Amino acid sequence: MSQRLNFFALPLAIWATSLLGYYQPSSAQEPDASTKFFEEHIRPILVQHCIACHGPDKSESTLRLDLPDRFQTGGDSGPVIDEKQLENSLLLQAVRHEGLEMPPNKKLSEQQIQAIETWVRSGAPWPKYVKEITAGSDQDSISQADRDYWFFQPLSEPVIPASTFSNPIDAFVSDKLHSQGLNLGERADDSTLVRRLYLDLVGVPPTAADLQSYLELPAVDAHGTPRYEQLVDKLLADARYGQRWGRYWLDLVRFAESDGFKQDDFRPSAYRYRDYVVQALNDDIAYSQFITEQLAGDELDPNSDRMNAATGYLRHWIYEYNQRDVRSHWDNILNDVTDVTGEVFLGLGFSCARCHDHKFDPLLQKDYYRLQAFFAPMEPRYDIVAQSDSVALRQEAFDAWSQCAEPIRSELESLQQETRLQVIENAIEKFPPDVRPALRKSPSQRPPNERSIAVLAYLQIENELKGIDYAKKLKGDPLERWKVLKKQYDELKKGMPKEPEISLTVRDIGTQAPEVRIPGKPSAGPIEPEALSVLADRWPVAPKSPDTPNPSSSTGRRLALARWISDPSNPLAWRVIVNRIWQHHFGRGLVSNASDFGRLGEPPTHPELLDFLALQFIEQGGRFKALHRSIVTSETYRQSSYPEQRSQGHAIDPENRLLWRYNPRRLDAEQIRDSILLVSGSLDDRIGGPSDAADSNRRSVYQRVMRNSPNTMLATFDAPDASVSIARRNTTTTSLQSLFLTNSPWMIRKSESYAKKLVAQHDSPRARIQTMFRESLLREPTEDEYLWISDLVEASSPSDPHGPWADACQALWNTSEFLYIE
Amino acid sequence: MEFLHPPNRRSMLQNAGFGFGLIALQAMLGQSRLLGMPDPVQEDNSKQRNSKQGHHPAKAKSIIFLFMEGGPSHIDLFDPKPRLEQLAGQSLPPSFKPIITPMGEYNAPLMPSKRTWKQHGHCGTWVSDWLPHTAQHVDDLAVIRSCWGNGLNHSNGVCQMNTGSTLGGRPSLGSWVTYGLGTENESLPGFVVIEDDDGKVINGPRNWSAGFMPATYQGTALHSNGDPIRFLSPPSPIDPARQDSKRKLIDALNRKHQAGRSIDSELDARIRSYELAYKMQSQAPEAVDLSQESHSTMQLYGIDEKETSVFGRNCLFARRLVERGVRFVQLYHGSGSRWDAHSGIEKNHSTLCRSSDRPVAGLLTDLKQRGLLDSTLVIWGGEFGRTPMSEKGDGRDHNSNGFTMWMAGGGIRGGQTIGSTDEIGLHAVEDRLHVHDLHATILHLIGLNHWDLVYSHQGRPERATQNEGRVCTKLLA
Repeated sequence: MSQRLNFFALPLAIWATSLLGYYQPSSAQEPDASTKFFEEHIRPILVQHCIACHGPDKSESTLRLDLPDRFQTGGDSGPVIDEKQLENSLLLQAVRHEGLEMPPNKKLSEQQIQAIETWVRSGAPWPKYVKEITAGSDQDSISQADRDYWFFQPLSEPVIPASTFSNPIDAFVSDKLHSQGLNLGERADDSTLVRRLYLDLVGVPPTAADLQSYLELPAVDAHGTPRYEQLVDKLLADARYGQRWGRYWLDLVRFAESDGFKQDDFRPSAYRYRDYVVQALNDDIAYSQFITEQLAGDELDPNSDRMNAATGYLRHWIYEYNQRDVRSHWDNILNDVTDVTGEVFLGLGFSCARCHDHKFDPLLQKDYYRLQAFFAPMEPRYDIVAQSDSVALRQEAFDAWSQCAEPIRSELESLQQETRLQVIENAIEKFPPDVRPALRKSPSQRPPNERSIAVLAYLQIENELKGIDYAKKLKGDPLERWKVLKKQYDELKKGMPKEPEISLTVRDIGTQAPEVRIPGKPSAGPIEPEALSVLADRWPVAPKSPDTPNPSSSTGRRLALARWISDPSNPLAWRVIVNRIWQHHFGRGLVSNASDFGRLGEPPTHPELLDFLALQFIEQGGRFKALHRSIVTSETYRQSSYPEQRSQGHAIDPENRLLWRYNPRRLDAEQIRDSILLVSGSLDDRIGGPSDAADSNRRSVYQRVMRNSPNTMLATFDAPDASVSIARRNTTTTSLQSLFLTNSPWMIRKSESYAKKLVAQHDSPRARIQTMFRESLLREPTEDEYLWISDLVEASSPSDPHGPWADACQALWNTSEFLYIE
Repeated sequence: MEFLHPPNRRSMLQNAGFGFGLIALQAMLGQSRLLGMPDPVQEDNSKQRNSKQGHHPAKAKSIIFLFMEGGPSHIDLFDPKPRLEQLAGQSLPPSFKPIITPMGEYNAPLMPSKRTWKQHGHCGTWVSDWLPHTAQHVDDLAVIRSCWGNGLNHSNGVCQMNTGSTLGGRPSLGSWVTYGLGTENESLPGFVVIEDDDGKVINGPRNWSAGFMPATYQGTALHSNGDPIRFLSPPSPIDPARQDSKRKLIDALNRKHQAGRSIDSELDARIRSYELAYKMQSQAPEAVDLSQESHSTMQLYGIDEKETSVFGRNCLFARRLVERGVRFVQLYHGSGSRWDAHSGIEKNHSTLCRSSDRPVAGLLTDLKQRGLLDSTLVIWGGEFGRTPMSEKGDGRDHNSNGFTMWMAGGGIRGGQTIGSTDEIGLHAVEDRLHVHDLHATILHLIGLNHWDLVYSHQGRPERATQNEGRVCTKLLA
């Protein structure tokens, strides 16, 4: 039977025109209109009127209408579709009650019969993904309106509104503005734009010299490229780009370098994930790859350092070192990974569905555990050694040392063995009784459901082993021998090279996954990994990827999930990511709740533009830099913050949702700190590597992130606390911020060191004032500003020649002009 | 920007009052009116500003939460269990549902309390001899013996008692209250936290974080030594005139920048934030300046005694802050889990009760005699209680399945004991009050309905009680 027809060639299809508004068959991967027709019209009829008698429970006349292949073969009376003469199909006779009368008691409605006719005339195509039709509860709890919700529709190629703009972004934005009687505002001036671009793309303002050299460039170079575009390319190629934009991603994945909870232990190798993110952005890897490496890097290549760093994504959960209830702890960890993944990659707030079907969105409780089932087989690992060159050298030295220490160590261990086993047994007894049996088994004997729980328990047991004082536990000869060996060993240890670094990563426990069940609902049965119900029909997750590189050691589930999320036909991830990028350029997304596109949020202000950007992003291979370039070269982005139409714009659209101006915004915490470091001349621009424990002069992204003791300055300016995924930071204006900027030792130190340099460089007060303004505010001081600062200097005590200059430059760093992008 | 009348350079910095007065600016800019510029005259009246109406009328205007960190033993303080005498030395009878104990002494014997118990006040509320001063106030206290939560460990427990969740990331109760009601005194933070002298509370500032809410609602740590608020003054003393000049320069630059940008009220807010910081610089030190307190007041709080002086001072700060319109004051006693008596509970609790009892009683007396108790809700308790089973022979492990808290003051019906634990104090049985119920009740007492107090986070309506919690009407006057 021909399954695919040109749907739009059908004559007089009553529904076809209504579909045009939603769909254009633009790519082969999207569900086409025939699929949509089947889902909207045919499936409901089959479910409600046919399969009770011609389905799994009864198959009268041996006819099954729930299975596509059985539908095709037909029943006792032969095939229901006459492929040669569609109009004579048995199915049509039956529903028209011409001869056969089906359904027997109640004829279908005229509309339903027309739908069947239309379907049969097109060859009665079943969407390929439909393997069976069930009358399950999913169909009841997910309504047609749910299925029609805009976010679950395929990306559609919008018509670009006619305009004089060459960048389609401007065409979309100005079109909306025109409908409200507004226009795109005029461009901001050059220095405003250059400052905006620097802060936005690399996180710090240009230096006075950067600005100067830009202004001296010819408007267009020899290749005809405008200088603004040259600057865009230069900044996107700058290593600071990844430091800036990586930070947004780190907010989303609640990256931190400590456990949280009471102990808040440091995670020495967590920085590898941060470096991975920064590098991935600088390398401009495809978004699909970025997704896949983080969710399933270990399944792609377990021996790759880079992949192990990327799967650090799965290790940012908080960990409590002394939680005896390891079962709940592991549940919390899986919940956390599920919640974050749903928000970050799918733009859906899954956490509501953990305990009940989502009240507003078609997210069933089952869907929550379907998503969780992808992660259920993972096991946190504490033994995977990082492989980078520098670490590998360490490994060699360490191996050599270990070999040398081996005889002593093994004898020590045999002396300690009995005590150790006793301590382990005692430690096991401290865990809840239901956990203990698994702890007494070797890892490979543990049932899949107990594997990760045991890992958590053994971390605690290890702690107890570390605390054993063998000198007190051993007696007699063994004690004497132990003392001798221990002394030798301690001596040897003084020459021990640094231990190799361990990757913060995960592996699957093996090929067999633990069973996932909905807590408190045993009757729901085991939950298999699958797409959320509202999408599973249209875009099911492909079963275990046939090309899973390590099928013998992994379930391949996470890779399957990653491939599903990043499939270009799955609209969720693409809309979500382009909206995030847009949000960070403009301060607000086209969808304002960047991590929840469900009904609780607001619909997109520019739905066509959103789809346009997503499709363009896919076409460009999911490369972020191309997307940035397209956004920041638009006139929309280059608008002034205070255009001439501002009173009109403010009256019509006070929140600037239509983008009649560029939203001015306060610098975020890192921008403030990094800008002051740069301007004061103290910035240490080393890239990557372990974070700095104490407040250093490196960029903020390299400051250690401890959950319980956040960096005071960053926290004061709204940096998140790394507990949950943050899509958009709060921006507050508090007096504590003012106190920090005026009185903190950090600010005083920075301004004093700057003032010393300033005073040494320039003798005349006027030159000092001018330099200070140029370097901090990228402009010349006005006459009154000269006067104000001269006043301040003259009024100060002559015994402190730097003090007033430090005060003055500190004042400049306190100004709104410095603290805002416009 | 062109100035029509260039300012006289001397007069500008000298004459401009704080906030670079409107008149000076008008003269300077030659404008009759400045769009969106605050009127400095009105600003002096900052008390009451930003104070919001609650959902219903309530007696309590402020809350003082006395957090006994580490988990005080309810069965040695407020919840006598004679049955434990009979079961002493035996392991937990099978009729009691076993619990997970963090230290994992699964077969530890039951241990009766060594306290002497007495009924107090007209109401006859039981209090052990560890809290003789608090006992004198029982007619004002509603003792809740049936609290329970989900925190097995300190970190979970303290986090839940503050935020409702055992996991981090949610706003603290004080943040919800300031979000709902605003502040009555903008020159002081609306939500203030005071830790013990040298202790560091478990989880650190995360306990008073605003979570996903704006930092405006986060708790501010107040210190009794040095700067009461971080960065209130510069690290080394600076000539006040010099500080003043710096401040005025910032103000002048900001106001000049703001002109023509009046559509952005945030710029105005930033100017105000400097003014508020300035006011805070005088008000915060005044709030913690005890030199104005009489000798008898100091005595009342036990500030004259070594053991009680630290917490006594903190309790007195609490009264002074509440008097000045601070909405939510949280005092930690035993910061760093010092109530955590896994062993040697006799010594541990004797010391901690000794250092807190008199200050707490002093606070209640003082609030009452100043007529503040009616408008101040006082809450006492820890993150959980302790097990009737012993640990290490003479200590007790954590128990979040049943424990005691008490409330007094604004809107509370005093002189009663609510709920009960089972006959050994292991599980709450009658009138069980989960932490969410406690939070719902506390919010109710200050005029907020926990269902209506909603903050939209990432599009989701978030509530302090995570869509749970019931108000315990028995507590209400």
